[in-house]
Amino acid sequence: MHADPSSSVVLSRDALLDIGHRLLSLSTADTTCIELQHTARAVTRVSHDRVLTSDSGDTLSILIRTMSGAQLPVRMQINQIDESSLQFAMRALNELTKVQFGAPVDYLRVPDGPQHYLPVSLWHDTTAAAITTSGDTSVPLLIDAFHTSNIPGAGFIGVMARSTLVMQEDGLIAFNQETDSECSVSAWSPDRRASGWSGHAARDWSTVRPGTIAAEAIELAKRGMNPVAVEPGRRTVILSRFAVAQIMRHLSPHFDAYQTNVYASTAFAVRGDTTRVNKVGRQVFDPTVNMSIDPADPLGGFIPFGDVTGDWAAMPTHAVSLVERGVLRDLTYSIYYGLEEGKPFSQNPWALRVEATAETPLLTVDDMIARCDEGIYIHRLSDVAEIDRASGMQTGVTRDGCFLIKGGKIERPVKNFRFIDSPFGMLNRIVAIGKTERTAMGYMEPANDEPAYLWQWPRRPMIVPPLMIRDFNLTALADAV
Amino acid sequence: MTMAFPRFPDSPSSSGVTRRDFLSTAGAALSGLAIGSRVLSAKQIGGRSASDFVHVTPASDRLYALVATALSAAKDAGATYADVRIARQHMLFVSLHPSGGPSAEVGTSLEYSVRALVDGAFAFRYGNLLSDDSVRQTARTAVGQARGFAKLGRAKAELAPAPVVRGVWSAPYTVDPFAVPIVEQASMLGALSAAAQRVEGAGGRFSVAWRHETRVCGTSDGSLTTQTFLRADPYASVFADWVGNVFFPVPDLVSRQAGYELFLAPDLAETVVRRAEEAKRFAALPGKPLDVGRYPVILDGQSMATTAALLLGPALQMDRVLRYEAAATGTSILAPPDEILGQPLLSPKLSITADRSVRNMSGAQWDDECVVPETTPLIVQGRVVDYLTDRQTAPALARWYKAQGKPVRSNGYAMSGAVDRPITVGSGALTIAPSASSASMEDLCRDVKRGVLMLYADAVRSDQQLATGFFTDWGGQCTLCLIENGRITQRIKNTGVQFRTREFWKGLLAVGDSRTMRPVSIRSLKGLPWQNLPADANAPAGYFQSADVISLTRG
Repeated sequence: MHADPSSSVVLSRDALLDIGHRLLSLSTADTTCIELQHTARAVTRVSHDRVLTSDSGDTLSILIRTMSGAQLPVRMQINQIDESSLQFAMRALNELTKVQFGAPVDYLRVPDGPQHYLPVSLWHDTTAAAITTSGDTSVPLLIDAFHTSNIPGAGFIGVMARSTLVMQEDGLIAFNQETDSECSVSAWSPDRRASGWSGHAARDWSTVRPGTIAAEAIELAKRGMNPVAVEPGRRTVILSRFAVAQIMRHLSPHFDAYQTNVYASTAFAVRGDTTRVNKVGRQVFDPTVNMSIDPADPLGGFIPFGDVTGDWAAMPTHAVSLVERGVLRDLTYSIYYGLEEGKPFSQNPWALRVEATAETPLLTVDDMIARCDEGIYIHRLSDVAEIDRASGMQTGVTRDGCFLIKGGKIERPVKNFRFIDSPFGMLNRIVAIGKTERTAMGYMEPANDEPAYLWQWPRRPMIVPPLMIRDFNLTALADAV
Repeated sequence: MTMAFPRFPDSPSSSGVTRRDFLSTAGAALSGLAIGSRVLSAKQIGGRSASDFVHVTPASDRLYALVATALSAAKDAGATYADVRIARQHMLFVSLHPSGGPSAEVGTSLEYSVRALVDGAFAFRYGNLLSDDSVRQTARTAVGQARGFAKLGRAKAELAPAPVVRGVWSAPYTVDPFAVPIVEQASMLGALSAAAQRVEGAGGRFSVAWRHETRVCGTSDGSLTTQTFLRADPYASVFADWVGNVFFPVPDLVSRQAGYELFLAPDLAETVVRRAEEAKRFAALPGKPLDVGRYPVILDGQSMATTAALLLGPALQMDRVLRYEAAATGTSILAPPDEILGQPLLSPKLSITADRSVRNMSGAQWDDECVVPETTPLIVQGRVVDYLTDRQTAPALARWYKAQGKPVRSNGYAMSGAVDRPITVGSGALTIAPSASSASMEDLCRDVKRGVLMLYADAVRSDQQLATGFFTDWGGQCTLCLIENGRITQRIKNTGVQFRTREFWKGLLAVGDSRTMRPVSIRSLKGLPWQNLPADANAPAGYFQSADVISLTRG
């Protein structure tokens, strides 16, 4: 468990416990689970030589779940903590829990009582402090960069701090505090025919360099001017980490054991074979690839327990090696399916680390370009969506830097493309792989089946490398800039 | 299948299920529900309703006082302009657990925000613990932030003028869903699911979320509006061929502002059965990929509405046009205004208006800046004539408005998904004008020798500039059929349809008449951090000159 840092931007463990105990003392249900979350956030958006908007404040959410006997649980959400509101909420829930909804349900019971959670380090005082200062220090850097370069642009600076507490009447208490931040910049050429983008996401704001990010985006916009059309088709591509992150985040639902084993709906499912239901143990990707999830990942990490919204209880989660040397080693198990199958709970966190195996040589993007006779460098993607769960097929459009490579060099900027390809195919066509880092994603729509409580910014960390892939399917030119 | 070729969607048919059958399966209590103009109470119906479980406080007078406190604090701190919004919300979500029992969640929340303008710079702050001290402090902090931002920027924001308005308004409804027992609502959902299953091989998925919101907005100009919204957000879909992804929506169960009367239509069960039968007919059609190439395309009303809501509406949002959203949601293919306005860029068959009529999810009497939304012609016979604006973006069209003899002002599309989210420009509800002469779906398809018919699209993929569009039948996002010599001959599977937005809409050859109109209400994301905004549209079927068909293989 994480000790309380000395910060007042979000409620402390004791303050949240106080609210939780007050609610528990009012509950008459057999089981009561309470999740309290206090989030402070500061967002500043820059465009047209000024602060376009800021968006800062704090929100408190309280989700209470109660159950009595074998009846289905009921849930209530509130966001007020005055005595009248708390009393009304619990009185209402106590009544609602007693209403006889249908036939009794045979519910699996999760283990009771206190749990032990993986130690994680998700809080940085520098980020918490930046909630009040990030705009002041970053905005001039961005505005000056656009003005000096004569390249117009827009920027996003976001900083967040959060306290989360889950408690139950049986003594379970799970507490965590986290911070996160992101800066991203979009720039475009004066003729609006080229654009560039760069970003950096980190739990520690002190590692984020807005000036550098702006310079990278502006440079891409400049280099992208006067693009030409190149024939679409299957080509060797070099994908930056930004593009890889946008594709790989759609892998998360495929690792869900229930979707795979029971619904046979994912690309890891085996259909038509009576001896097995999934591909665990089989080579599914190139042998140079590992994939894992780890709450304590030093480059990102996430809360080391499940949550009331998605999993109904704060059971401990742990690191899972999902893919080793391209072999599928494990899937992720929800609490209840895990209990059924005798597997430990491993929440699908919608955060993923993709990296090269230890013996695989790492190449920089420049190295990959130098080794490419002919291909396309793709900096980022737009509107990436999975269009078929069974194959993992995705579509999207390139953006913010698309360049033709010939003879080991960037030859010229090219117009954007629509792509249709699947990571389950791509990750078997790896030519080279680079260094893995946490990667900013900027604006991104939810993925299919992504839980609603994870839709909000900031998204959980994607930690990925740049990739060189052969036969990537660019299906059509796209006019979008 | 009794016919050699399937009927076009929504042709008359009989299902053989009577209302009596439906009521007998839905539970005796339902037969006591009266369909009429009076609001039914929980005591009359019996059982516990959500109204017993939501905390209706504070009262409206208290909300007004808090708005006044915040505005006063902002003015005292030196704001040039300020607006304050406070909302009180109740929520009820009812669905069916896989065991068949009902699952319920209720919620209640309070949120507020203050937006302050100082020396041409905005700041926005929000919170949810309401007290005089908290709103006062939030207002002061917002003014201080804005003052700081003003020193950092090189340009200034300006607001178009707006008349002062004051008023109270409530969305109309007949039956309060918070007064209908939760078990009854679950029984209703179960009955609809059972109705779908009466068709062999078919099924249905049903749930509903109700949101009741009282939103008070006040501005330092003197405006004060109180609006009460009641939004119904049903999920209602029937399916046949789960693996083959034939999912059809249930007509009339579309997200909108309405009460429980949405579920009390006497023929709702028959509608579900008919739709399940239709899904089964289409699932039974032979299905195979279509050869790649360019084909004429007919979109049914829902598919047209989806395309309008997700492509044209956002492309006409002025903040996207001005590139304010470039680092977030994206820009617009209908930009810059100087090159777009008044030009014959799109088909003369295309005319679109926007409004915020109250039945739609986006409906409101006043927008989030207390401006009365106008019914706004956006595209008239293929020419863009206006954009969707708020007070901050309207001045960018000053030259155009003056040339048209119009005042420079917001046309009332300042929106936010919740009051603790920043104000942005939304689309409201778009309406594509139908044909004034008779033109059914069959009429539109009659002269098609070989083309694609798209039904029930609920998604279209695009790009950062909305310059292209992409449909696929995968995942049940739409149903594609081959039309040969005016008749549906097969389903098209494993296929994508892609187009360039301006070229596609330039090639709109004909639209259907009012019989082909279909509404949609879609959640669209806007901003960074993103927020959910409703995007409503109502559109006739459309016949397009061409789009590119590509083959999708699972490789």
